[in-house]
This record gives sequence, structure tokens and C-alpha cells, in this order.
Amino acid sequence: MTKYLIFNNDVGAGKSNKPGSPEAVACDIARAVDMYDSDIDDYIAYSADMPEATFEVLKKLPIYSIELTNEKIDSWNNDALRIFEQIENFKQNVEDSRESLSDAVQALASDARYSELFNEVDFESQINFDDAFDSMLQRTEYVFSKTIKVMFGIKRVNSAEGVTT
Amino acid sequence: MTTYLITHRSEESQLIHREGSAEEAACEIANQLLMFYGPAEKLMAIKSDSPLATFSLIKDDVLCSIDVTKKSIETWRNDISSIRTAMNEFHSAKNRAESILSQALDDLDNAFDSSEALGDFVPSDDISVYGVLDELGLSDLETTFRRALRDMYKFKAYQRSSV
Repeated sequence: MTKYLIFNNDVGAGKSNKPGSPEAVACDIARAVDMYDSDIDDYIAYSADMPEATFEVLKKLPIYSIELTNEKIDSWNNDALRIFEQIENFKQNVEDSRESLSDAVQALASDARYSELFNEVDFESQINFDDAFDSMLQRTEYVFSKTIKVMFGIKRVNSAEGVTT
Repeated sequence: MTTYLITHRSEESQLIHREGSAEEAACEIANQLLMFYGPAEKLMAIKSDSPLATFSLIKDDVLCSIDVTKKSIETWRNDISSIRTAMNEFHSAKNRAESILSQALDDLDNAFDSSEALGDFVPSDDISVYGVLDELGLSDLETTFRRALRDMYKFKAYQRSSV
């Protein structure tokens, strides 16, 4: 089992992990836990017993630490990524549904504007589908993030706890 | 302004409202407001000052009354039916979304279920397609629509239990 420290990467410094390497997997996992708010190049991981990790820690604290085995890496590549694809599929369906409902409510609002009886009714404000769909997307991402966090035992490193390499 | 009493049309009745008549429009409007589970042709509109209206009231056959004018019938034909159609299309879009998202959520559940490491997680325990879409405000939409119709046509429901 190898422990990896994951840092915010300074993209301008030209450093990155080799795609497919355990370090890159560690960054992928961190990105999933962060619910894909950042780009993969925004993370960089080092094996905790390598001098680069010590050097980085002297400059700044890591954001995560994770212990990976070959089994866990296989599990990420085989299980988690497949689930991630289904999540992306679900999110795409949510976006498509949002668009289709948005078109329908706009058509309704447009008819209402020319209606003698309903021209003062604001149908668009009565239908709050943005909140509904945002909530669904957030829950989906949260479920995946929570699952990945538990499954891979990734730990958020904060300044109060410090870092041990 | 004419007040119409609306009753069920009996199966044997040969009396059919003329196409484009005020009676036909009155039945269509009542059909919407009564949430009558059937076509408007199954209803009959009777002018409130006719002997047949008195007879229907005595027999307790009247479902509701509505007031119409030439202008309010025009509004119904030109204006309200297009809103109703747009609302129905919105309902259909919502039903399609529910169906697509339920399937996608099932697929997601299955993906977790078939995973050795992640099998304990069931996304649908945390995400509810029906719950979320029910909060869209569709019932408010219906309420607004029906309230506007009720006010415009002075809709009055009569005490009957089987509509």
C-alpha cells in the first residue's frame, strides 16, 4: 500500500502526473470527491515517501491524502469509472429534461402573453424547475462523492491536523 | 349574458348541441372545471330560464352552472383552448422527463449494485425523481388556470357526489 499526497497544482509550473499512473488515479479520485469542480490538471499527487512530496509539503499543505493498493486502482478503473459514466448519463438526462420543460413553459408563457384572460399571469415564475433539477444534480454528485470518499478512504488534510509523511 | 345549467347527457338522448353553439362551448368549459372524466359531449347545457332547467333542478340532475356571453365564448375558443393545449404539453413534457429520469436512475442503481465495492450504495435512496418533479409547481399552475376560468364564467358547482 502506498500513501499519496494530493496538492493543488500550479499549472504554470508545467508539472503533471503521467496519465494512468497511480498518482493520476489519486488525482482523479480527489477530483471526484470535489464533485468535478476543477480540472484534472489542477491536482498533482506524489508518493508520500518521495522527496518531491517533502519538498511540496514545505511549500504548502496537501489537500488530500490517500492510500492506494493495486486492488483499489483496479476498482477505480473498473467499478468507479463505469458508475461515473452512468452518473454522467443521468446528468445528461437531467439537463435534457430541464431543456424540454423549459421549452414547454416558454411556449405556455408566450401563449399567455397574448391571452386576454391570462396575460397578467406569470406562468414562468410559478414553475420552479431550475431549483428542482439543480437539487437532483447536486444530490447525484453528492452520492458519488460520498461513495468514493468512503470506498477509497481519501482524507481531507487540513491545517489544524497537519500532515505526516 | 346567459346562464346555463349543466347536466349529464342521458345515453338515450338524441339532443346533440349544434357545432359552434353556445351550448357546446358551455359544455366544454364545464368539462374543464368539473374535471369530468369523459368528453364534453357527455354533458348537456340547458338555459337556466327554460322549463327543462326547472325540471333538472327538481330532479337534482344539475352538476353546475356557468354564465357565458358571446365575448366570453370567443375568449374560450380563441384564447383559452390554446393555453390549455400548452399546459397539456407541459404536463406531457413533465411525464416524459419522469419516465426518462426514472430509467436513468434505475441504470445508476444497477451500476452500483453490480459493483463489488460500491454495491451497498443505492442512489435512489437519496435521489427521488418523482418527489423532485412534483415540486415543480404544476398544481399551482392548474389552480391559477382553473381559478381564472371559474371567475370568468361564474362557475357554480351543485351538490352532487358522482361526477
